[in-house]
Amino acid sequence: MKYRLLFFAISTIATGVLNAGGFNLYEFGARASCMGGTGVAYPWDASTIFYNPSGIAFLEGTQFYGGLDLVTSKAKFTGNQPILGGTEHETKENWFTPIHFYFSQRFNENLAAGVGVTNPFGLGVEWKDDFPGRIISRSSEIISFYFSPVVAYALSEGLSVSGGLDVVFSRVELKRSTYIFDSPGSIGYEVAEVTLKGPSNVGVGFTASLMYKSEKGGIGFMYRHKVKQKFKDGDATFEIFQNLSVPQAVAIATGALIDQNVSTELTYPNIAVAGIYHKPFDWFGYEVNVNWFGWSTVDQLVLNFSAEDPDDQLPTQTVHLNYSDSWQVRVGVNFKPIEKLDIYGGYIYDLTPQPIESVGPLLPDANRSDFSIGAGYAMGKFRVDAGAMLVNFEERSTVEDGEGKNDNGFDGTYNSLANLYFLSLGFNL
Amino acid sequence: MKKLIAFIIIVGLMIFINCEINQPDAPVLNISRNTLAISKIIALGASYTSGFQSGGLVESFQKKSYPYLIMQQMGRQSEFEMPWIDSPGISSVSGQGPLKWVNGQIVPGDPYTDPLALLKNALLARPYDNLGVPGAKIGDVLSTVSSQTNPFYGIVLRNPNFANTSETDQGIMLQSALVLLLLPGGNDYLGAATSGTAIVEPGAGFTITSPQNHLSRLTQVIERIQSSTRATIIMSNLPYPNLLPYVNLLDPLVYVDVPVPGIGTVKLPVVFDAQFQPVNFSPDPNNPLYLPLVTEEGIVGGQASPIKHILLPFLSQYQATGLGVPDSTIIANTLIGLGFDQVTAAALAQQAVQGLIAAGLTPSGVPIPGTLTLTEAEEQIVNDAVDDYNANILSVAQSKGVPVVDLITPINQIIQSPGSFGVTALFVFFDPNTTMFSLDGVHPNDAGQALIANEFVKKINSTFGLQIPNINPGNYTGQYSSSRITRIAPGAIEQAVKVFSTQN
Repeated sequence: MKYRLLFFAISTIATGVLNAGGFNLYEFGARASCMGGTGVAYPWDASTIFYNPSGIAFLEGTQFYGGLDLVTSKAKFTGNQPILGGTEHETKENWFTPIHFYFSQRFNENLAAGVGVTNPFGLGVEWKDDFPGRIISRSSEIISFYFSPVVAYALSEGLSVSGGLDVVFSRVELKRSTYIFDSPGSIGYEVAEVTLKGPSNVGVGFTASLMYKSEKGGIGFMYRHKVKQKFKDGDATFEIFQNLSVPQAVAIATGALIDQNVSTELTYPNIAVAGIYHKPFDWFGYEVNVNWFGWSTVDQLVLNFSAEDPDDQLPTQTVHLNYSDSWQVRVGVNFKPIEKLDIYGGYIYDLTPQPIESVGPLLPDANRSDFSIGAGYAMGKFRVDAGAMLVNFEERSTVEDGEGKNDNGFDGTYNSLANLYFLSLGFNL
Repeated sequence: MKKLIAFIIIVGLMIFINCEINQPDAPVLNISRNTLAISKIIALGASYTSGFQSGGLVESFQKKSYPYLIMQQMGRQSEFEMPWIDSPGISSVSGQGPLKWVNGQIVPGDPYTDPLALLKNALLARPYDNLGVPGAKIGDVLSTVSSQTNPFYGIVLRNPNFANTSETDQGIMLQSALVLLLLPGGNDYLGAATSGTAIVEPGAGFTITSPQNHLSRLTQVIERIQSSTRATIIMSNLPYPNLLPYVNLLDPLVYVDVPVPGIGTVKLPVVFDAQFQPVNFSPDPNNPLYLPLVTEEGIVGGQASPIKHILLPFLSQYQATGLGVPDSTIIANTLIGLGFDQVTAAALAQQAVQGLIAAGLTPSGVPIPGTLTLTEAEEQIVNDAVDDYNANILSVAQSKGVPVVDLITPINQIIQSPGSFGVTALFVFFDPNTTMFSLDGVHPNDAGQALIANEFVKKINSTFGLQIPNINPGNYTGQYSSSRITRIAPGAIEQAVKVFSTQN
């Protein structure tokens, strides 16, 4: 017998869903990252293609700069009393390795071009298997690749402008438990895990910037346009649990949960950054940036399903995210105690775009204070930069004045922390 | 200087690497833990749970079932799904709705053709919250998924759409917070009382599940629910079947001390009139003569154990065909046994027959079959089984932490003091206004369901510290016409108990 979807209520993807607030990375160059992710106002190296492409007009000759980040994040969750009984849970410790690679070439006194490859959206959250929030998300991972060709032109000795494209491709994988027979007061019976996985099409955005550079510092502005990603060829696949306490439920789930196609759209936000770098001494400088993220482009996510047999098709699901635009303040310093050696430090205050209603297992975002430290060493045409950053999330609860605020009714308090380690190598021709 | 810088870097990295996060404190919602305990309620069981009344099931009855009344007390009845059955309703007899009363007589219900066509919410995309299947024994609650002869399995469990799952299976899949289990094992002995045949498993043709199997199956039900859900289970105990009007309606009304040759004086059911009064055939008031009803069992049937109860279906045949009414031969032999000579006995027998006919009775001489009577010995077998079952219930309750609703005490109180809780346990013939039993004499009516609901409400409140308002059964009386109902159409009551004899 074939079980009809119309006959069974299935909470398949429901509410927890991809959002990009905590998935955004801004650390794509060890030196800039160690300086709190500043860099819009001064072209330290070819990573300026990411932070402010106008900077390549001030880089000499041909330059390579590339490396990777090692990122690990931890989140702890304590469920509310009395629904979740105050139980304590945490994420698995997974490592992620966003990469960055840049190449720039200055053709003459005025014109330069370059290309960068980065993963500005490249993190994930994976909870341990017994996490009760697995109805919303057990694991989530997003990987985006930005291929960014840029051209910069020096309008005068210290002023340059640039423009470029962002050619963007992403992959997403989300896993969550699937329940059948939910009803008022009950989430229903857990029968399977669904995986939503798929690639996006190629989206295109653009970048525009300007930079003024002098002996004592610099000023910069950069705008990166939003990029829409269409996930047309995603797969929704179900792993039916075989050891259910009601063995016949395997047949129900097998008949009702049919693998099918899923599609959706997601728009990465606009980003605007302005900053100033001041170098009062030869051995010391500091930079202050203000970053604006247009997260309000992320208001909802509509999941459309299609199956070979229309009777198997899951209904369209709309997830309301209602992100707000948000701001960051970034401060970086650099010391040069001896020739060839640089010491970096930085601080970031990052306001979350995520409303309390969206705070959940998929992304328990919160306002953050980030601290970074690192060093760089030059060896002729080569240099190496390395460092680390501590991302300290403010504790955030979805319970306010005794009232649960989470859209899914999964309320509790989250405490998160991330460690990032940076390594970049540079080479000048 | 270089050492200082290296030291700063190393210390900084160690701080970053070793930084840990604290487990946050649990936030507290403005929700009572006790409220959560009843956030989702389901009911398992049989006909009493389903709202079965007057031999059938229809939406108006279902909306008086005790689980529904409990939800109604909390204002949450709209979320409680039952297999809503449209009018005229369904009974155990194919094509007939529940019993009704017409012109002072209980008659079979209105006809229908397809029972499934009456199921209003057949496409509900999940199991029903009230999973009571009329006729289900405790073993059926555990594992029966369908029945060729009991249409209620198809209506309530809707297999194979739910992959051939039982009441317990479907209850588990609903993942409720509270499971109500009324009369766990009621149908494991009730069939004996309603069939007048008390044979304990594994005897041939047994009508009573062995206490060992009752214990095993009840334990499995409880263990399966507890191991597969976080639900609290509340179950009731089991009253004796002789509280049912179906069993007791004629006692003690038609029982009289009768001299039995060779035995002495024995209380036996005797011929009675339309007002259920024993008929005295002697013109001498100081020397009354009552004629015992003719029975296959009991003293009259040649057994040592006297008839203790004559079951309700007998009444329709007594009124219509004279079942159990002695003819002239039987009367004459009775009189001879009492010392009359043959001539006198024959003459008196003729007079008695004329009296019977004048009273509207038919002296058929056909004995009441054993299936319509319960002897003292049979009743004892049934009661012993009920005692064993209740011991099982208490044992399982203690070992598994299951609160038990005591239904025995309030029902005994009502029997001893009619009018307690605003109701009586009398058959509708004798108390149409405040009876707690429906027309079939087995199942509770609205008031009876309210009584059960109230006992469960009290137990839920005491278990979880809640204050769900009590239910006054007296507010649910008046279901029937106050005009006296005195007759039962032949075949009407049989449909009420057919559900107990269906083979799954």
